[in-house]
Amino acid sequence: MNDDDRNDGFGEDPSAERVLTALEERRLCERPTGTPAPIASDEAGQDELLERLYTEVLGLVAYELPQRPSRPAARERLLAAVRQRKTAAGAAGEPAADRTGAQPGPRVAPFPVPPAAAPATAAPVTAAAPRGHGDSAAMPGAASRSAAPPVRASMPAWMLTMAATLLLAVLALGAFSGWLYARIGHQEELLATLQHDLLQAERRADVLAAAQGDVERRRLDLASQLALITTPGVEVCPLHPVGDAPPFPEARGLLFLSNAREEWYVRLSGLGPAPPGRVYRLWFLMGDDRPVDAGLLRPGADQAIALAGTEMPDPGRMSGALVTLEPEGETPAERPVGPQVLFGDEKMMMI
Amino acid sequence: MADHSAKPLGRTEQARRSAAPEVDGTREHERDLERELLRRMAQGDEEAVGVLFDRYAGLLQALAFRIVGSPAEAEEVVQDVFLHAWDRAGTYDPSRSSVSTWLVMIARSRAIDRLRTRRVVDRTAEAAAREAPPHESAEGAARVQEDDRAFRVRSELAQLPGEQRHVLELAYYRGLTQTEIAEREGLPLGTVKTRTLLAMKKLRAALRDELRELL
Repeated sequence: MNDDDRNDGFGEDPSAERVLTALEERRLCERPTGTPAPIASDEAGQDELLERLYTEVLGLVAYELPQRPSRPAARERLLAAVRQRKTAAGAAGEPAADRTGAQPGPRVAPFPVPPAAAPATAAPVTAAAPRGHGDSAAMPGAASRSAAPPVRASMPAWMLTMAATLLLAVLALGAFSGWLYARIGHQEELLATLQHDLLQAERRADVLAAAQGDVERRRLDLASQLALITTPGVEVCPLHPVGDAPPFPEARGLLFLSNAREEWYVRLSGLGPAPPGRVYRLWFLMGDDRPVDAGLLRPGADQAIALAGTEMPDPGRMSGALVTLEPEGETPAERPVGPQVLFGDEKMMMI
Repeated sequence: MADHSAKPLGRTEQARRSAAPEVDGTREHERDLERELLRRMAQGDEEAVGVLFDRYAGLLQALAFRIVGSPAEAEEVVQDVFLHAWDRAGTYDPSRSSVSTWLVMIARSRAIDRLRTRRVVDRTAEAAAREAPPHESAEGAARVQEDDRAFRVRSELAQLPGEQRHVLELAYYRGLTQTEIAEREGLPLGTVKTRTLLAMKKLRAALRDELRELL
């Protein structure tokens, strides 16, 4: 026999059905407003216990899932939000101990409130008030109510109306203030989020602007180099390794010179990083072999070395160029003192 | 772990408890501690919400992820749950549910709200089920050693007939009503309801030791 066809007593077990309905309506674990649900009899107590058991069964179902660790930042974020709410509540003048939410009744009720406590006493007190002080002595609430009639009798109607109006105004103001402070708290939370997002966006914009600047500089350099090497009359001087055992046998270089533009551009490849404490330096060799310092050469992002300049030696007297490894950090000497790496003394007209 | 090898876990557990009564005391202490945390939260003690977060964030994150299918969105749900708990700590009623069940139900409700907003029930829930199979991951297996409650719940859920477990999952993780399940599965409403209620009843009987700890 299939389980579905078997009458397992569920037609007579309304507790499970009530819990299932509450699950569907997503109000499980919530006590309906105005129903203290006391245990008034054994039968009601049994019902309540069964409902509680089915509720806990559904709570346990989630334990089947493998737990997923939360990020530490999530905890910090929660505590920050809680602190913000506390601040907002403090600004609204709400005492911490009164933070009871929207539902009426005690915040924590370890024991069920006897059913007759609230509703049953209200009517008798009202009815008993005119009878005198005997009842009211035992009940502070009733005392204030019993004192009310004489005041009402001696107070003119217009004063009562004004007092009621004033009371309503105060209540409305209080409610509005509460709403306003809650709204401010929400807006502050939103503002903090937006400020954080804005900061992130500004940082991203800075990074992008810096990258864009680099690209633009690179573009201008390339345009300038292209203009130089395509200028009519430009000369090129190939540079080669020097000596029998050069440190970088695969190294090569090209030096472009334009008398018309009074510019030069050198590009080297195949050179490794300079040894510690050394830098590459370019020299122009004049006709009398007197070297003229043309500047330091540093590897670029692509590990190639390039340098451009506008200080041109006298091209008529220039016989070639030399690259050496000079001591780092020292004022360049009049002549190279470090080992020679590349050398060229042939100039060719390109165009 | 010999306790876990036998099928009638309830009886084994009872025997274990009678031999080690301090376990009950510990559970009772835990239960009181959690209620005290809620009481402290109601009085504005933010440290208490941190402690509660440490205890339940993993469970609630798993539940929310199972429902919404996105880790980021699950984290948002968990934040919502604890903020709601903070706001409504004063309304927590220990006679209605344990603290864990209260939090689980808030999380389920919030996650299903999000799910309904997105209208992608099938895709996310199935994706989540594929990503986090409850019985197969090494992480899950390791946790079995640590968490008796998870182990017992998994064991008992695994014992349910497939059709009962299926309707329970549709109701629990997808937030479908019995009527919606009946329409979706092409079954009479009475059959769906009977299956769900039978599943609940069986779990109530099988998990009675766990339930006793929560009351």
